[in-house]
Amino acid sequence: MGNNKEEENMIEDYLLYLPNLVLYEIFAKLPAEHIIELRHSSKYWNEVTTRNKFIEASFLQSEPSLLIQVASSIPRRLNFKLKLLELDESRLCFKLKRFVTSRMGKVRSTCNGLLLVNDTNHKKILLVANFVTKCCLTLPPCPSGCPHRTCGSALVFDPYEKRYKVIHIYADSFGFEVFTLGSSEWKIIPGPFHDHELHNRPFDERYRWSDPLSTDGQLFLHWKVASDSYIISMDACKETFRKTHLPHHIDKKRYSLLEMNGYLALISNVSSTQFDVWVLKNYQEQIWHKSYSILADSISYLDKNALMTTRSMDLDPNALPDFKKLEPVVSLRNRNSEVIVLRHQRSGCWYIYETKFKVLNKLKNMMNRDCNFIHYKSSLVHWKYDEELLARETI
Amino acid sequence: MSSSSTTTTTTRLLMLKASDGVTFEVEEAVATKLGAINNMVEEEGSEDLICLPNVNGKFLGMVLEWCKKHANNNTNSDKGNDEVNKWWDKEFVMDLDQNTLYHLLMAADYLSGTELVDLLTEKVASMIRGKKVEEIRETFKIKSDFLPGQEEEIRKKNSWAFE
Repeated sequence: MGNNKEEENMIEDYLLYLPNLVLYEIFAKLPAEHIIELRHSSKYWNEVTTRNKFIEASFLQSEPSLLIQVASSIPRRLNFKLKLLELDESRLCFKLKRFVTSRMGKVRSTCNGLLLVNDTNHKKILLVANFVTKCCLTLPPCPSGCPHRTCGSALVFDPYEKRYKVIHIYADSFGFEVFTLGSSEWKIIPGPFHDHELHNRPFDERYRWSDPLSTDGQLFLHWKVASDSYIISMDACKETFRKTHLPHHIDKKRYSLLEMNGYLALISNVSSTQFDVWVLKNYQEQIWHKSYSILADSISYLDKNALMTTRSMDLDPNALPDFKKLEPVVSLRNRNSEVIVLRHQRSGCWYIYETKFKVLNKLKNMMNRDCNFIHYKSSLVHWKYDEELLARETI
Repeated sequence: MSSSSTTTTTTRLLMLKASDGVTFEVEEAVATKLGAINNMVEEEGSEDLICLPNVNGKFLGMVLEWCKKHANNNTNSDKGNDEVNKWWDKEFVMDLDQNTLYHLLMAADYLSGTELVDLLTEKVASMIRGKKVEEIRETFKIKSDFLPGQEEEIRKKNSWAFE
């Protein structure tokens, strides 16, 4: 170490030349957007922060958040407003942030900081973009010619082949369409039901595929179908399907599927005062564990407005909402806590439940009832040519 | 310059010798907050004198000051301890100049003081967070080393290539 006085006086930019691993540790503490700015400051820091190893380290430390998307109210125009939600666990609410975005369309799925967007200005177009590094790739139209109004699609990363894939389904007869980012053509694989199983289809004529829920690091995709005993799941790497049996028979209107701590979770509404949380810990063996129950009389309920507003209304200020009216919508977990977001089916109000301290809070600043949530973690994944997405070192 | 700590007869004392010959007598529980020293102590038949040729006395002293605080506070099981530690850590990094910060980071990294590295890297990160390029350069006294056109190229890379 330099304990030479003269040398110390000459060098002023000490911190610029810290060892790589120390710099990684410093920069990984910064949000991806700040890294973009940092890159202009010096050649060395630009070089350090564009290395794949750093991009991976930064992504791993990146704070999980939610994107909230609302269809704009302008008639006959399909625009979507996108905002970023960060969990504020000390006040048990969300911080609403603007999300850098042009009016590209509807976000269908996210993976490693990349967004799968369905371009509402140019029908039939799907694109994959990283809004932080401003990289974008337009997919060729699907063989099915799907207009992407009612269909299911997901962006996944195959950790074995180290490739990104878009998985898409329009209608059963078209099969599943798979596009590997960086390649040039869609591939078609048969859907989950063979002809002799047609009578087993979980859906009738009116069934429409929708965007699946992805779990286990996006290895598995799940669709809720018209059944009280199973859902349809897909292994996104092996491209195989199966029925995943529910822990027991449950009326399809009385349960929600969520991703919790990476796993597939099923929250069933048992009564006006009870939810049961089931977790699929082992996908292959289909082993569900009942994690815990949320019981109305063992949770604390915060509604800061209740005292002020309820006098005029005929409601008990401490009244918990009826659990039968609450629908669990999404879950978010960061370093300190795990929450479940619930929507009141009648009033459209939003609630947030913290699982460790068992606290339920009514949210004040949320957008309207018709919005959807997408898990998001920002990343510095970038590419210049589409082919670079074919063989990734890491993410 | 040698600092000794108040001890009971049961605790083992270690002698740490810095690159400039300055020695510190510290309790084992304090010194083992540093991963590198912990490893040395765990080796059988280890000696009580440990030479650290890569750290000079000034910075070793500061690192040990941090260790002492954290080792002491860990032995009490008070609830408010976390808060006290946080407050103390904040004070510890508040007025560090960049020269000291650099040498402390190098020392903490070399001695595998994981928690201290975490504290110091967070301090540096806070000096970057939310700043524009010019402010970052000013903070860290960085002279732009981009060749003409290079910076422009990076800017271009970070803006939408389509639309």
